[in-house]
Amino acid sequence: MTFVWHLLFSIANLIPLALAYSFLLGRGRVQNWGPVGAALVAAYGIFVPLSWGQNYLWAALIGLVLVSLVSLLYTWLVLRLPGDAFGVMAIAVHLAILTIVLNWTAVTRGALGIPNVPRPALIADGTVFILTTTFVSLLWIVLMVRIDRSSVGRQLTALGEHDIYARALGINRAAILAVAFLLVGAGTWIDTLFSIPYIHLLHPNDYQFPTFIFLLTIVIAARPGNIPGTVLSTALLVLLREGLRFVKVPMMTSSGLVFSYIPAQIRRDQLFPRPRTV
Amino acid sequence: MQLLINALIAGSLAALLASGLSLVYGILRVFNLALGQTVLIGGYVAWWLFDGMHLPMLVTILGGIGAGALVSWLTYDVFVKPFYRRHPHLTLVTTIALGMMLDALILLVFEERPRSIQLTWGRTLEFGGMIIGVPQLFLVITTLVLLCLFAFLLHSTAFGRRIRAVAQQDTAAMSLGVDAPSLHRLILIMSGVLAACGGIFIAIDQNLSPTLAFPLTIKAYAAVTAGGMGNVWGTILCAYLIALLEQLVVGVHWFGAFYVPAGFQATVPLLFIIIFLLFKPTGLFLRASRAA
Amino acid sequence: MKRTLALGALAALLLAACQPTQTGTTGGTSSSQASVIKIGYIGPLTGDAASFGNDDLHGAQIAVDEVNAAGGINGQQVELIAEDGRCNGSDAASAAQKLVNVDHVVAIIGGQCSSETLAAAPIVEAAHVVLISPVSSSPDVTHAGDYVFRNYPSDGLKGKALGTYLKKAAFKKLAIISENTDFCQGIRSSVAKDLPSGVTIVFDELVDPGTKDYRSLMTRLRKADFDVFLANGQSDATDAAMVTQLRELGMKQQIVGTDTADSANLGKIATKAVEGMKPLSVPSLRATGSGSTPADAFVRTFRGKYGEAQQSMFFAALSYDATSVILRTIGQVGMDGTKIKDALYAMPPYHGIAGTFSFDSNGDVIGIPFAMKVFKKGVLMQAELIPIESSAMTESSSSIQ
Repeated sequence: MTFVWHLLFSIANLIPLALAYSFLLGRGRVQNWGPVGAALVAAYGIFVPLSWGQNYLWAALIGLVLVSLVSLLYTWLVLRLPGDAFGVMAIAVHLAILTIVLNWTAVTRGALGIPNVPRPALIADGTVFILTTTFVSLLWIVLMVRIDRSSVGRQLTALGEHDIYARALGINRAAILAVAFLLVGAGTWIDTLFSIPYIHLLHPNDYQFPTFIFLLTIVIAARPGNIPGTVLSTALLVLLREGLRFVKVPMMTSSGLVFSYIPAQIRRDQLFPRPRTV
Repeated sequence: MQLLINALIAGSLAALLASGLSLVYGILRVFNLALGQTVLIGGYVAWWLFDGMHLPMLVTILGGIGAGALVSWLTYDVFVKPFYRRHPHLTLVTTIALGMMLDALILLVFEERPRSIQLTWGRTLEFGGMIIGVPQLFLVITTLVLLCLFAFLLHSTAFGRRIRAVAQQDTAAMSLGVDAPSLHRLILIMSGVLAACGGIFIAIDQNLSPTLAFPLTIKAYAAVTAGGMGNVWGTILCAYLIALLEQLVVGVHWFGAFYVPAGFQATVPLLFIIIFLLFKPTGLFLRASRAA
Repeated sequence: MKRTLALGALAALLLAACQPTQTGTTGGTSSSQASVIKIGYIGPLTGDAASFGNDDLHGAQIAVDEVNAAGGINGQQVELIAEDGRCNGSDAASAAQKLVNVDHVVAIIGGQCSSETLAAAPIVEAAHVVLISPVSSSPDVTHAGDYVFRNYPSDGLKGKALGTYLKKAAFKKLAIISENTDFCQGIRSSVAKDLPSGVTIVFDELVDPGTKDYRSLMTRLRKADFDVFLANGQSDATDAAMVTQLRELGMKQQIVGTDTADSANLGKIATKAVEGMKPLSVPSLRATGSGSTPADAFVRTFRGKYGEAQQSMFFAALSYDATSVILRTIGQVGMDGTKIKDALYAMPPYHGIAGTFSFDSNGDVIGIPFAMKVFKKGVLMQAELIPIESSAMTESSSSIQ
């Protein structure tokens, strides 16, 4: 039974980031390949102050501020670079942040990571912690549904469908993209706020490229931008990943990337629709 | 200075990888994120032929190149062709999937142990206080020869003219009788050949390990992005430039006061590119083109 | 597509939920209801670190097979359940959750990467299941918990051993290049801490993990005045690149290495460059495995079943020792986690194949000796033993910062 709780946590924890990322990728059609960079900033932004003795609230706030700044950096990049270049440069930003984390040992302890991360006292008990995470994820789902249906969501969709025409209609590309990236930042902030205390460990190995691949797979397997679809696909893929522990097919775990190929085949129309040509 | 020699060696490797990629990107607008794995497969097959089957060097090289070509053929027909017409970014996803699958395959077949091709003539040449190993010199010269061949191919042969025609406007080229789809396949295969050469380079100069693939791909993309998308010569120049930067960053005693920590060797060029692209997004060498 | 995915995942979930009811109830004693004793293994079976993840799994499997062949523990066969930790915290935590809560293992051999061990530690602490790591070297593991042990030689001892060798060989200026991983950092800081008087570090650089191009660093090193170089890489691949490029630039100083350089493969991929290089490792593992000691028998069995070690035979041997110690302790005190833990703390020195060792009050290991080996014509040979001063034994529990 405990393992089922663990599965629930794994799913609930990933949902905020998955939804926000799906919003950016699905609606805005922005190829952001470096969300893990923002995740790193959120993680170290929260837990380094915590390890220095700040209380949880302040640490979380500091983390939020830092991750917002990084999200704005990504926004600036996407505004300056043509779409193709941004994808690769986002990876470069992620790798640059990772290198800084690894080398700035005075602050981040480098490759050793930060162990013994405590849970907030109020929700320290396992079941309570997991329920809190689930509750926050549910709140986030509601929030994303509201945003998606609001004018921000519509404007982002318009930008995604046809950039220039949308701008001609007066949509402020910079502002809308900033909101989308800030949402991804907030999603990853929530993610790290719960995932790190859950395992009581912050370690740079958790923020390498495969983390992003899994996120991408989730978003592609669902219809990008579709909220219920993304929630379902998060649940299913996490279950699949943990379920593979029981099935013992070794090659499958690394060829779980097959899952990004097959959905891409099937979803190619939704992911990347052919622009209408007159 | 010794650093220039170092940069030449590292830059040659980057140039091999980046030039093929740039061609693919310039013409097909396709990202091939499985490039790193193609490099590794070329290198590993060459190693296997050389070390495992004890075949002569020439056969080894041809075998490695052949493997690289085969992998790119597969990449094109299965992972690129069904997708790239629909939307160029789709291939990003599919080639990442291919890359991961190839990674698993490499791990399965060649195992985690690093491999290298050791040449018997391991002497070093020394002149003017600078040292270069003979194999490395050979590699650098071969790379330059290859790049010149490439230039010749692109600019002085009918085949090259057809490629450039397709690059400029492929529908028009097709209407003039140029077989664009099969040219696309050929271009991908060419980039695979160059990648495999890079793999053999690594096998001789350093050693091959299965984890190398992804950082190589990133480095090649950095060069392509900085040099201007689709500008092959800009890319090659940028590849050397990035290599030079990497060596300088770590090797020079800045202002006589401090050394940059070696951990930043790979990052500084990346940051350079990011900052550079913020101010000149079309790349170093591409003139901004008019969008209608 | 969605339906198939949904069905597949539902099946996986059902499987997951089914397990606890099949094998019994809570606690570590559930295995007695079946006739199989279950031991867990957490390590990177896929990904960048898969080489030693697999080596250590094979080492543990050999130990389990030996015990089973001899009749098992008190008549019960042992089953080794391996989980992929992928060298990161969240996957290792998942793996530990499954092993503890679903499979109800009696003990866990793992994690291999320090991040895996640290992530699994809170889970095993809460569940009172013993965890022993064969190769985690982070200093944080010392204080990870009462139920967390490791038999990887303490970094404090490594630094001391290297320092002893340097003093004996009259080297005065040490140059180090380390990969920026927790494993190499541990070695680097312990070397720095236990440097004997008269020896100074003149060149100390950390490179990005996986760097293969050391040429500019070597160019800088050429101008530095040093007489011995420590290649502190995470794997023999990076060690090889470092050493080859060092020699290429004409530097002829003595090179020493860590246990990652204790690899037969290193001799094959950089034969000329490693000539004369001295890796620091344990004396018992002879490359040829042709003698009659238990270590030699292990090497032969390993090669027979799995071929050459992918990363290092030393790590596999440590894993074998860890598993054997656990299995022997289970045979002595039964399957209760707390009893196993107490027995391990009180254990008299155990003759493992990597050396004779016991555990200090933090669960760190003491007693494994060191030796410098040397590469001659691409083959590793024993060079000189490094005596462990008795003060090293008491210091180990406080030497981790």
